[in-house]
Amino acid sequence: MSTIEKLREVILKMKKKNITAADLTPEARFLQDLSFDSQDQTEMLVLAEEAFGITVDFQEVKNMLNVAAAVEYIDKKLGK
Amino acid sequence: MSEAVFSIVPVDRSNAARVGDVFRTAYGDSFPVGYVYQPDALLQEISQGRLAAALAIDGENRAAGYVSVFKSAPNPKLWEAGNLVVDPAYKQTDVSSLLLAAYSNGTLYSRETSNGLWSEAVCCHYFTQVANIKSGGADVALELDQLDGPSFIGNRTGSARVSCVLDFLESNAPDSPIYIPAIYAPILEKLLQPLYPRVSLRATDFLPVAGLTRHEERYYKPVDTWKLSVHSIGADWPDFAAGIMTEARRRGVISLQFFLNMDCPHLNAAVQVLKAHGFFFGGLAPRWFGSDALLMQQVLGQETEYEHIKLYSATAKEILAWIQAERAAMSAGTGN
Repeated sequence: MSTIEKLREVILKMKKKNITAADLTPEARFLQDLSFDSQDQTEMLVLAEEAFGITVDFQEVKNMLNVAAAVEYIDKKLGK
Repeated sequence: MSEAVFSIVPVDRSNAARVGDVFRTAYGDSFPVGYVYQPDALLQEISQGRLAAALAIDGENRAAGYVSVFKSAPNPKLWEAGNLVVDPAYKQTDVSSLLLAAYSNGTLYSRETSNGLWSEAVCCHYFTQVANIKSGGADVALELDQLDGPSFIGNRTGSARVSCVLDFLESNAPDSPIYIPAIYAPILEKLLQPLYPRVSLRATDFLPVAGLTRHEERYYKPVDTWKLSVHSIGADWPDFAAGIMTEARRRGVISLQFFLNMDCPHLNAAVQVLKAHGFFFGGLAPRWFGSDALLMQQVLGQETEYEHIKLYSATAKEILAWIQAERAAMSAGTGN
């Protein structure tokens, strides 16, 4: 399973209203397109830590713009 | 999150009236701490050293959020962090992180003159738990089913009640020994590890044969939570505990919590009395009385919905596992 597929599973696990797998394109912006707030962003990152076995530096990712940026960050943490 | 610029400024006479405005954006007039709507009362709390507070002001001089530390524990050298609120219009900014930093970095209170800072992070989301841990705090207790779930509808709790993780940042070392009940020694020793070293002894004494139990209490009727801080155990402890149980049932209390002073060599015997009434472990409340407190708790008339409890740290998860094992053993009649 690719990083973006696994990240989609993580975000869908959050059961945030009105978000479907189809919404989670690489270009989807957390703030504007997915209506994430700081609680949502934190939850996604906590669940990503568990799912990918990584440790997130929450300062590093506080301005993360979109799904592609999250995938890039996770891949970097995984040494890909 | 958005890159809006905020400044964090202390609450004083020039801006105290704006605190109420911020709370009204999020809670209307129903926030349970009345002084946030009353500038004079707010300023009095500050001038008497019971409160330190700050506002987040945006680039257009609008108040976007509020945070405070205040005195609520029996120990006057202990601060509680809380009452953080963000105007919903700023929810997609990082203002809440900036406000959290204001208490965790010591802006609001002096570490030199305090024993520490504690806070309760709700377990219906991870945000505050993560912020507390990243700020150097240690998770030390889990207050099960402490708050009313429906009041968190905006936070998607999905449960009837919301639990809280108690997090602690210690400022200096305690100077007196604590007594540990043998049954909780393994978990308590883990919870003590991130704190300053203290002398720990085993609590082996029987209940005292004289003296009266001395306590103070806070009863939060809107959320059916009753917290009792027991300064000292007396010969009346079994009757005292039985009386509290009767009164808790009469009031319809759901979350009943005892904070027991750990400077007490009778602690193991006192805990056994509570366990006979169905109480179970909650964790450690460091420096609660100056010395630490052991949290024992009970959930009345409510099934805990464990699957809705969101926990970030390994320690918090370990406390929950301990609680579940103890409750299961008690239900099976094998708890000691």
